[in-house]
Amino acid sequence: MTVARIKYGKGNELKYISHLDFMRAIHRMLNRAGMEVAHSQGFNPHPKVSFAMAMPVGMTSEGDYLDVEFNNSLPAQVIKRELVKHSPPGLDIIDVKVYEQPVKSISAQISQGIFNVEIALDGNVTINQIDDIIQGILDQEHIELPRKNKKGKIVLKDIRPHIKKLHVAEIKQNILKLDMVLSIGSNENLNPQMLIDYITSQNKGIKAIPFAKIHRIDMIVSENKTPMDI
Amino acid sequence: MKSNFIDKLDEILPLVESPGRYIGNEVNSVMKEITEETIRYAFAFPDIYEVGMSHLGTKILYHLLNEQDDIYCERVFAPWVDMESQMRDNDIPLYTLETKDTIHNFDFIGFTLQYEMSYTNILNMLDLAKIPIYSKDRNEDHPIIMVGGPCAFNSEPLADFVDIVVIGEGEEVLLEILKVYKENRSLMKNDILKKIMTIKGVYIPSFYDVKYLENGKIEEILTKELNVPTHIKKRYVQDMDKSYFPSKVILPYVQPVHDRVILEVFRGCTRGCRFCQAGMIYRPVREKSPEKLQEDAQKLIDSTGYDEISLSSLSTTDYSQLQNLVDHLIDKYEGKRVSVSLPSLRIDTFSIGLAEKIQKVRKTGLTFAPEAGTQRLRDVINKGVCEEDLLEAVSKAFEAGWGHIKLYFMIGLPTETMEDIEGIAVLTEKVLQKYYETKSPERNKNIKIVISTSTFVPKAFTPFQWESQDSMERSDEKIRYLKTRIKSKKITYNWSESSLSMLEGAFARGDRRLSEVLYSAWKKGCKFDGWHKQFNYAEWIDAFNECNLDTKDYCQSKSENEILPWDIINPGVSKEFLIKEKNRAYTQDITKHCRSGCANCGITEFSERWVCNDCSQD
Repeated sequence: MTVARIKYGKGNELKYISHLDFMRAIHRMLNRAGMEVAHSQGFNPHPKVSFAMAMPVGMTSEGDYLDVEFNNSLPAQVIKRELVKHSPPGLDIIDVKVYEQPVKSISAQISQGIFNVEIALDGNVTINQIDDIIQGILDQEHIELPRKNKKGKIVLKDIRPHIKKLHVAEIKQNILKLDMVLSIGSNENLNPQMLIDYITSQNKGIKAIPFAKIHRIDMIVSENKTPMDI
Repeated sequence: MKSNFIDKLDEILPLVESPGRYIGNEVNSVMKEITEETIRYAFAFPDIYEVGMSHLGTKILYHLLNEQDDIYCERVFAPWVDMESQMRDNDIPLYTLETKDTIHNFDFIGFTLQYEMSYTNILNMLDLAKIPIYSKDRNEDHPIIMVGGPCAFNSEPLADFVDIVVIGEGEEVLLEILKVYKENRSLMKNDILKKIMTIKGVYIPSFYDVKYLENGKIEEILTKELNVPTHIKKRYVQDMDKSYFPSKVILPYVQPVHDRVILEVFRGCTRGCRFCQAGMIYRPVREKSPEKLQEDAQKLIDSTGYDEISLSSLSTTDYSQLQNLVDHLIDKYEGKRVSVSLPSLRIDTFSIGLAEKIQKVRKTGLTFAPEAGTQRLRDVINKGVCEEDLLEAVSKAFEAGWGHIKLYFMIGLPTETMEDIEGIAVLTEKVLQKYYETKSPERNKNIKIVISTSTFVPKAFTPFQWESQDSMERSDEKIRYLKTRIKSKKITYNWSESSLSMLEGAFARGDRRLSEVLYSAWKKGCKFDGWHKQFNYAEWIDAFNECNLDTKDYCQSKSENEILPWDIINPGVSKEFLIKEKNRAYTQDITKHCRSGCANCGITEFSERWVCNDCSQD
């Protein structure tokens, strides 16, 4: 048994593709590449491919991960070469690492995501106003925002504990660039859009439309707080 | 060549349902350089992406055109209503998925006509591209608007809007048209059309005038230009093995209705059901060889990564080498986790055996189409199926472990009485009874029988083209009766909306006067009429009233002597044959399928030197 951990990026071409559709595209890419992917047992066997994290529609990335289990043993560079050849437009195969023994589920390993965000400003917002808003967020201990839970009921969610880092990278030509590190994963998760909506609600000059560009740089592993090693 | 509205797309796509429909970038979609020489062809499907991307003809023609050096074919679909309103609010014209250019800039827009109730979408798509809807209002700078596909055999309701109608299969004639265009593109549009007019299979509606009698029937069809053909012969591909079939197809992200490799095993149908338009207009039957199909399958599996192959045709179990082909595909692909599927089944035990082979593990469900409830009526429509066959087949299916059976019927067929409606209920109960009689240990615990009825709509170029269509009241009465007759909780009954069927009927046998009705209905906001929630019957009736027309006039019976709106088209089967078949229906005479003897439908006279495969084998 071989598990390949694949680091990939999703470009603009793929940002409106839902996670479910993206998963199907990955399965087909593996088929086109002629990979012998292991399948689960049972009446409805499915390929053993697991994703670190579903990406919300609208985002791009350069640091996503998935694990594929193969029936046969293949060197990492062969896997990478074949996947690069068969990947759909906008899918960037960055790196492949091969494990010859079972590994801890990739989704259980990650805890934080590093994001770059670009938001449009109108000409009236000053740098000081932006700094005040960002500092205001960091100074608070709790920021409770209403959101719909899975049952459709409105509940309050405290987003502040999930904001690990937040700072202004640059303001240039009416574009505000923010760097942020947020909780991601199955236990604690903050969708960057929720924080962006909160920021845009603070000042009319920070525009909600056109939509912010959200780009995920990488994921951080919970154990050692460093980006995923691959 | 970036359009200036592209950045705006990022503002609206996050707001619409399934934005992946509107961006392209799929694996195997074609990107090409555009030069002065390039003929830009927009392949337009007047329904949403998921429907259009399921359609085999679209796949074939898209790749065929793109394999030509000087043609670039791009796709455009009808945006769903949420996207349309965003596009209109933000002044974004209808654009293709490949270059995101507006189709306003193209040389051709080719709409495929698969269903009468998608016609309003054609008007809406032209309008979204800021192209005048009536051909007379378009100038030299506007694209040439073409239509093709099954409904093109009677495209008269679209006569005022389209420039070129292609009759029959498109592979050859489309390239011929584009060649003539390429050689003459400096000419005025009307002169180009006159050149294209001489190509076999081309119908230019604006070169004809139709005169009507007081009662709305046609007095005369007149030609308006010199040398305009008085009959248009359909086109078809003679040798399916030599005919173009793509070695790769686009792999959609947003899941289409049919998301698998589709192999076309043959064209045409040997059966001759008297209600079926496809069975008449796609004659003669032309099979592909198993060798060619195996080759097609391999190429498509390799280039897509699909894990399912569907064997498609009008009646796949009639393919003469089916067993052979299925065995090969299963042997070859089972280990690779690629499954084989058949779209629908003929009712016999052979089919069940085959289905068992195919659906080894998961027995998802079987669909049968008896079409009518009594033997008498099945004989009228020439559906060569008897009750014993059906019951034996379902017994086998229940024994093998299937529990989900779907049965399709039509209501409103010629000569139908309430006894035939009662027959649907009785037959369904007998099917259920067979389940209870099943002793096999494999018997499925979950039994579910779904019966669906659709209202019979007489179609052009069928033996029933002169028949009357049931009124809405009459259809509803029959549906109501059947609803009260179905008592078992194991049986579910679905029926189609009678109002929609009536409009479909009007357009299926419609004439040029309906162009105005179509325009008026579109103006009132009608679009996506085939989608239950979008269909607005009241607006349609208003549109008919405004034009002083009545759906009833189109749905009533016609005389064999009157001039039909589609008489100018020659589909290969002769009118004499259709009349003979109509009369045989009244006497419940079965016409055997082509393999058991030629019924002289006219196709061999239609095409010189053509010998039907099946006749030659005997």
